[in-house]
Amino acid sequence: MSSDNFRGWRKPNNSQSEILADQAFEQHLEQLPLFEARPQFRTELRARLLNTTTVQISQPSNTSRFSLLSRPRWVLVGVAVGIALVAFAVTLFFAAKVTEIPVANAFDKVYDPDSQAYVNSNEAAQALGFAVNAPSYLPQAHSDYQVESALAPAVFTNTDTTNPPSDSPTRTLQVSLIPKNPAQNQPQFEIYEMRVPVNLVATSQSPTVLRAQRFLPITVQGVQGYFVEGRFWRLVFQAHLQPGRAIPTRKPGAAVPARTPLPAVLAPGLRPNPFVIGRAASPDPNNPRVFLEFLPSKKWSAGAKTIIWQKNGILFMLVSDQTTSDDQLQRIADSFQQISK
Amino acid sequence: MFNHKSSGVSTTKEARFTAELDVQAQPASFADFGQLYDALFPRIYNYVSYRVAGREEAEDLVGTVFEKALANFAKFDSRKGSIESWLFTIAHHTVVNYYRSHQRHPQTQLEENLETSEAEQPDQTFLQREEMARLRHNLSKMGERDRELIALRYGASFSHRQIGQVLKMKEGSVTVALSRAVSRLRKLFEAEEETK
Repeated sequence: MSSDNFRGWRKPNNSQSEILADQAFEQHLEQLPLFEARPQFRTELRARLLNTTTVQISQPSNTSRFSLLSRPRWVLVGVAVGIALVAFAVTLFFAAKVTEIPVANAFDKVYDPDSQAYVNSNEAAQALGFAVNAPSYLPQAHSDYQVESALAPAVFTNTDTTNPPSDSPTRTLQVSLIPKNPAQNQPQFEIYEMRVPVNLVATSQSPTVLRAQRFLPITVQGVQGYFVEGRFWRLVFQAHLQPGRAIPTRKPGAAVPARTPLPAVLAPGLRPNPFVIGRAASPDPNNPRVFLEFLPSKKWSAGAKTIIWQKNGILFMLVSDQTTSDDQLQRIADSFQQISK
Repeated sequence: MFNHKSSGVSTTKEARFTAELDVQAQPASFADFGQLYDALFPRIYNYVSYRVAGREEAEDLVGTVFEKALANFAKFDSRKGSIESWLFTIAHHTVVNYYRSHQRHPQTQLEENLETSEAEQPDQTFLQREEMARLRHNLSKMGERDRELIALRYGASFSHRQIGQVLKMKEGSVTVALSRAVSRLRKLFEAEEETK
């Protein structure tokens, strides 16, 4: 690949020669070697991706999923139209008031993909291993939203041979707040509640922020939280392992950190989540470094605002599109309450 | 649909890609994501490497591309285009989004520190590495659109028609724009030679 091999693309300085030089240079480009990946990276990325395949690919196909959903959705739309008319009248009547929306009631219908049944919030709490939380406040403009929620699969299959099994949470609760009358440009919300095996550490060095368009440490429900805005970001936290818990240890020399995509849930209204949580390199197993990554998805293609906080060992992530103000999002996060219905 | 097409130039690089693709089934019969990964990983990696400055960035973005592809694999509709166009469109958007974010927020070196540095692959000769370094260096001096065109043509070995599908351009426009991009890249190489 010495430069002597492609002298043909050099000059002289007239138009015909320029054309010939370009053609020769094209030939040179065609013959360049590949940028080759490290075999270890290729192998380990494949293993990591295929670990999630059992969760992702085993879901019903796109067509069948939507055909299954279409009937209840149409019913919901019909019901929603009626409710919306009533809500509109009420909204006009109480226009000046801030509404406390009893969204927690909707947790009576938490979808469990394992049993393919709806369970109430007490049963959901048993499955999760922690009490379910829900916002008790939504802005007035979102008063016609309904809650659709689902438990992630109980078992996150990890067949990764390059990294030890993940200590994934028993289950994750994924919640979407969805307008009853879908229309373009309506705010979208998603909530994730997840039991994690570590306590995240908040210092001037933790978390480290990558790629976020905006990042602000904030206080949420009296604890340290973070506001993050962007399409594609990563937070790397210092952390302390909780007593009795374990976290995957990166195999020496592994090219890819151990990652645990939060199990995807495909239930009415819910989409595969945009978060990946995992362990980055760290020499101390009791004080691991943990990353939380937000990957762009079609739903959040215009960017998203996220508030993250950890309370009583549970990691909360509240995501909204750009149409919700920072203050409103903070107020929604602050309004989270345990429900026991 | 999965046949590898180009503008009629058969090269060693292309033959290597084609050899990998020939053993694969048609996309409709992909039983799992692994086949797609095995078939298109080299081209995705090569394409992304044309677009970014270093191996760490390339690995990060390639991982992201396949994560996105996996998340949306069940939604792929072969009636809308080939699976390779679909995957390279994901790769294209991933790189574009990365640079938008990168320009607003310069990256730290943290990710590089997180990954274990590996020795260079033994089959890469010094001259090849030097040439590829020159390529990367000169590509970094080019505009976004020029780099994208060259990456799709020579990194991904796409035909002009396929490039048009990814970039939403007419095939004729691709031909003209690519020709100009190649000419500009050649002049960068020449200028570099003259300063030696």
